[in-house]
Amino acid sequence: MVRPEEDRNKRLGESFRQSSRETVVIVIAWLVFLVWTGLVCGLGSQLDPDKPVETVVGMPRWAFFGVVLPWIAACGFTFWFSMVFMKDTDLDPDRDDPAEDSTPERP
Amino acid sequence: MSGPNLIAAAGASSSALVCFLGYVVVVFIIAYLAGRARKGKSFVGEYYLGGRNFGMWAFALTYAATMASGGSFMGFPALIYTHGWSLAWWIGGYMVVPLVALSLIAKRINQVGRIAGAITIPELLRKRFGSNGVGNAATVLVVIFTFFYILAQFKAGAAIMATLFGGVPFYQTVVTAVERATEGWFWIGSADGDYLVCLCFFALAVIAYTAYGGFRAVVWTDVMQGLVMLAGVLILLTLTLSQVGGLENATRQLEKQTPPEFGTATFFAESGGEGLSLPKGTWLASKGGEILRLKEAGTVSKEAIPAEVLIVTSTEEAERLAGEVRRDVTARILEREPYKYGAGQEGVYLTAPGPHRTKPEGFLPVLLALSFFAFWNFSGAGQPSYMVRQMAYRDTVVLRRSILFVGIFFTLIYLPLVLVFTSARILLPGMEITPDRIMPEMASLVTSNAGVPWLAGILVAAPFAAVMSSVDSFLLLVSSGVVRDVYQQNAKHDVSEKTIARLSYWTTLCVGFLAVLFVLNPPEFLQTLIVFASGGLGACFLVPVVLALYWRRMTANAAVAGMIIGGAIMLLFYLIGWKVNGEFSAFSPFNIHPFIWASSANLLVLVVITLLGRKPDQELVERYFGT
Repeated sequence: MVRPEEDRNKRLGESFRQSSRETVVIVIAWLVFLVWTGLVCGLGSQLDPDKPVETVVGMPRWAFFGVVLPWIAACGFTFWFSMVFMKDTDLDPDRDDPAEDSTPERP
Repeated sequence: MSGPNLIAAAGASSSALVCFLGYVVVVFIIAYLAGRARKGKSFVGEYYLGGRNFGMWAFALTYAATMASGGSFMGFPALIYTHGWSLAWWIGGYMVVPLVALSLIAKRINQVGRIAGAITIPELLRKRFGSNGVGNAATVLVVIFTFFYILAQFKAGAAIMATLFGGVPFYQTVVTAVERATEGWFWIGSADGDYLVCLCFFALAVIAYTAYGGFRAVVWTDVMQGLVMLAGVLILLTLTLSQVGGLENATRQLEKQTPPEFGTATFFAESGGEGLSLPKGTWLASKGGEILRLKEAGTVSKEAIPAEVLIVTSTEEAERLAGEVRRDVTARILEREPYKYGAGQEGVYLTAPGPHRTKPEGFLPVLLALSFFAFWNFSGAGQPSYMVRQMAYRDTVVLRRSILFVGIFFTLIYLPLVLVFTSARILLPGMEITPDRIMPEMASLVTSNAGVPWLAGILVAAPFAAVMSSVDSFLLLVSSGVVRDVYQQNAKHDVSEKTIARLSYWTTLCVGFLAVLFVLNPPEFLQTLIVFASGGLGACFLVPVVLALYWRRMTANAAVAGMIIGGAIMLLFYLIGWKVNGEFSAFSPFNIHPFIWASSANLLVLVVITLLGRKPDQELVERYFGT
């Protein structure tokens, strides 16, 4: 059974708007992590010939707080984004029978 | 610490070789099974896209493995070794690559790909805009930049094999025979025999299984290769940290190191030794007691023929190397060239911008670091080979799980690599003479020291897997461009499945062999070539594809103009870099990577032309965006 064109376009439009919202969140997250690493590494990584380089768990301090820590935070954010925020979508709006879609619709 | 002799011995370990060859055999078996699985199904959809039905493991690992190319396991370790901890910041953008590169367009591109029935990116653009011009421009750009990428990957594959096979008697015999046979030949004659032998072996293997198995074979082998990479890096990390005495110890020793100097020297023997040849890599001492290493083969002779050398400048490092020095020959240093940034400075390997031989501003000024944070993410999102993969997953459950999986995968690959190869400066000094070989040399060294030389086969298989998983994907990308986007689009009659199948096999084979012909004379600057090619693809496709998926108003003319401007600016900035720096390298005004300039220009042109042009056909917009 072929779905009515109007219904198909409406569902596709909603799916498009959800994808757009997710894209905005991704770009904001990217900016946050860029600023974090940029500030910590930019301010803390310069060589001071008069002082030994400080270390945290064997790494230079700036690398730990400016790369490793945000990296761990980014993994946590990725978990939240992919498992909680991101919504499932019907990827094939032109398919005849939507029941064939293996993707469950999440609320 | 063991010396180069032990490394060579480990490299020659036949058990490591057997282990490695076993890995290659498994790859072939997988490709064979993938080829069989394709039987009875539509050829084009299966050969180039695997039927759009990949689950989490296949999708996540093929994506991650393709992204972790030869650059990750050859070029990146070489850069860490050469410039130290600043590479942690350089690669830091990878912390959000799974989010940005995988989530930015994955849902939409899969959806639009299904609506359009598109198999390739040029085809997707062609149908999205209803314009052959867009598809043709995209095909040309994909083929050109991808071809550069394949060249770099072939070189990386050959370099890894050369290290593993080095010292095996039969292999050496073949190498000598090939060197004699090709001496004086145009194009090929200047290449090392071991490079030529390994290149041919590597290329034959990859081209054969890719041509036979198609996309499904590439994805299935990627799954295994991804797991091999992960295991290889984690084993390497464990062995390295235990042998270097822990990370804190490695960092403290690294703090005392100062960058070496490059120069030239002549050689004299106490007992005459006229004509005595000194292999590349030999450690010697100068009359003044300085320790140096040959960057190329040298000769003891009355004519005092100079050879390029690397001069160690750290006192502690020189003391540790005293046992490695050949005592029957003395060097006289003629010229020396200190690093432009970091010369004589302790702690320079632990800080940014990191030492640099030719750049007075160091390896990684702040703006360049920030632009790399953008580069990894957005150039990653803009690669057609990754986009194609995003058209191949089954449903959004697979996508969500894969994003998380790839995030963990990259964390376990890239951060450990920084720890391993900063420690490598302690375990394996003097590798600035051939930095691209640091990964396989380290694998050989640490496994040999641990008494498990056979394990080197698996560790070396990791970068080899990375190279294979990238080169096979890119081979298929070029092949699909030629068959699907050029031949099928322009065929004036219906073409049978059998003809398409035959054409696809032959095109994959021809593209591969053409690439081999180009790299028979090995290109220099492996990592630069990779960054150029991937940056070029990103500069051409990121903005047009993202906007094609998210902006209803965008027009076909704007897409064509944006792609051409992006690619042209990228090429122009590298040509300027070549002219200015005397070597193939990026020209980065204000220390901002060319990719950023090219993508910005692409965006500007695209937006302006779209707004000046007529609105697109409403029916087409509703088809891809709904209401």
